[in-house]
Amino acid sequence: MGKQIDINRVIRGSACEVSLDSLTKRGVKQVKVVNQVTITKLISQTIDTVLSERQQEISATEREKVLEMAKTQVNNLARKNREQDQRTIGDLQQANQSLTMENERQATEIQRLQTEIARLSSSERSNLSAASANAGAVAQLLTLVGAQLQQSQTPQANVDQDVLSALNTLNAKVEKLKVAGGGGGAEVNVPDNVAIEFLINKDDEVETNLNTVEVKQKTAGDVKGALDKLKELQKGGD
Amino acid sequence: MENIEGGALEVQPGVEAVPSSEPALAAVAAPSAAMANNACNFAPGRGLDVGTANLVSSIQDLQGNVAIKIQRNAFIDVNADDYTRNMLTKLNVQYVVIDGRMIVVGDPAFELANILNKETRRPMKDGVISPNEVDAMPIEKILLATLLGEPNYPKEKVYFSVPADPIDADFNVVYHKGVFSSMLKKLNFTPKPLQEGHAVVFSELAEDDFTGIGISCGGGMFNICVSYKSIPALGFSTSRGGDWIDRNVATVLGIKASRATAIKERGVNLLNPRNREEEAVEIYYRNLISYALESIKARFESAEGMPSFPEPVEIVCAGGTSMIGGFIDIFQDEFESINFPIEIKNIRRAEDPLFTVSKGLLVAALSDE
Repeated sequence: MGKQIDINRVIRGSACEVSLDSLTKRGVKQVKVVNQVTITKLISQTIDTVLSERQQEISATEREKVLEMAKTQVNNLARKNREQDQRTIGDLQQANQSLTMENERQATEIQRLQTEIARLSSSERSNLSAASANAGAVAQLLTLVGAQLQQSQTPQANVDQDVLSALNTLNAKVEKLKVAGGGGGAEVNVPDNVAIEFLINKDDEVETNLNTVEVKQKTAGDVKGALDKLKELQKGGD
Repeated sequence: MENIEGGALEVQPGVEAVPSSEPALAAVAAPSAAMANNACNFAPGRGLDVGTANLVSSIQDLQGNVAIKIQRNAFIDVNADDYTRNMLTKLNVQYVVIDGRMIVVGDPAFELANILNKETRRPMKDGVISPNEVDAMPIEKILLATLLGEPNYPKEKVYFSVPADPIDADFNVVYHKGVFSSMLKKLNFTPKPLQEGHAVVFSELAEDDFTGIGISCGGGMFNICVSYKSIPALGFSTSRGGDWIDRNVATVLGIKASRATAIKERGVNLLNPRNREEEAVEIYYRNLISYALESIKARFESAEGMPSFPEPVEIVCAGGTSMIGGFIDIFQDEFESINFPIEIKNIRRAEDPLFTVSKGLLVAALSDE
């Protein structure tokens, strides 16, 4: 009697293992599964049927040859399948590697572009800032101080020092005037009062018809007598 | 459109309209040909009364005549559309557009407020720039530009009125003074502040060697100055004025304050009120005068360094609030009811009450050249 064929071993040896992820990547969503026991049983039944039919016609030696041929054929088929699967897997792995490399290249490019955008934005801000350093800072300061003064009419703790200084100067002058009891005609020196300037200049460019509408003008006597008297008094006359 | 002063404020005889010779808002920056032209027509120096109710500028021509420009210190918002814009210009009504809002300024604003039963907006309150009015400063700058035009001389001096510190309110005039100084500098003038009461003395007490008491009865305050030979010995203010009357009359009559102002200015005689409205005006006027005199008396009695005049002095009342009929009579009545600490020989109203402060400031400006 010839060598016994272990069909289960042959099938196991002929099969290749493919992961579910690989199948998924290949686009295989469903597979038909045949139990190894079932395959073995089918092969055995097929051979037995053939052999039974020809039992009367072939000898034991022939039967051995047929079994050997069947074994060889199964092995060949299994090898071919395995080789085909390995080629497919190789192709997929190569494609995956290409895609990975492309992904890495694009990520690097995105990073480079983001860096460039950040550099350009920073440069632009820097240029704008340099071009309007005084105007921007002063405008912000004026907005702040102007709002504070408009709200309270009194200097706040964080009001520009120029404003505080000017107001203190005026306060001192007023104190002197209060002692003297009069106005005196002293010139008020507040040229650097930025907050007041800002508030006054708020609407420098306004639409108006004031340059086409005349303000009524009247004559109202004269002040010659009072003026002469005052000048005489200022000269020290009686 | 009729000028409100024409009826109610009883503009003095001899005051007549003359053509405007000064450009309004246009080009207030650099010295120009207009400066050269006007320089030969006017003496250097201006007077500017910065009042709560009115702004009054004065200038003297080379013949010695004083030219006055006056603007109601008020404004009102109207619809900002092309039709209104064109109509306002045709009606000779001044407007400005600020932040998309059309604003009528000066006397027409007051008239519109009465017609439309609305309140005017006021750049000033209680004698100083209003802290509650966001458009106060741009409007004031525009009004000043229309009154002053360009300087006729480089750095021409403008003496402008400032109130004295009030004795009955907790604020000072430092900020107010600084604001108007800055505005005038922006218009290329040299600002010189002078107290309102002192200006009254310069304008009205020349015959007494500028010795006496000048009182400016304004819309926001009463300003008092005691002067000896033009030197101010004491200056202070009380924080009630014509606006105080208007607010109270409006409250008791259930009307707008602008309407109360119009009632007050239409020719009321305090000695002979003709209806309930005029009676309300008379009541509050008498109360205001009494309050002012009591405050003045108290201040005089507490003042250190009060001058001891060798002779009785005169009290002169000026300002729009003193223009109502019977004012001096009521003042005299109330004065006699108190024991005033200074001997007074006479109480009188100024010759041109509405222009007195401005003319006094002009005297100061002309004497400073």
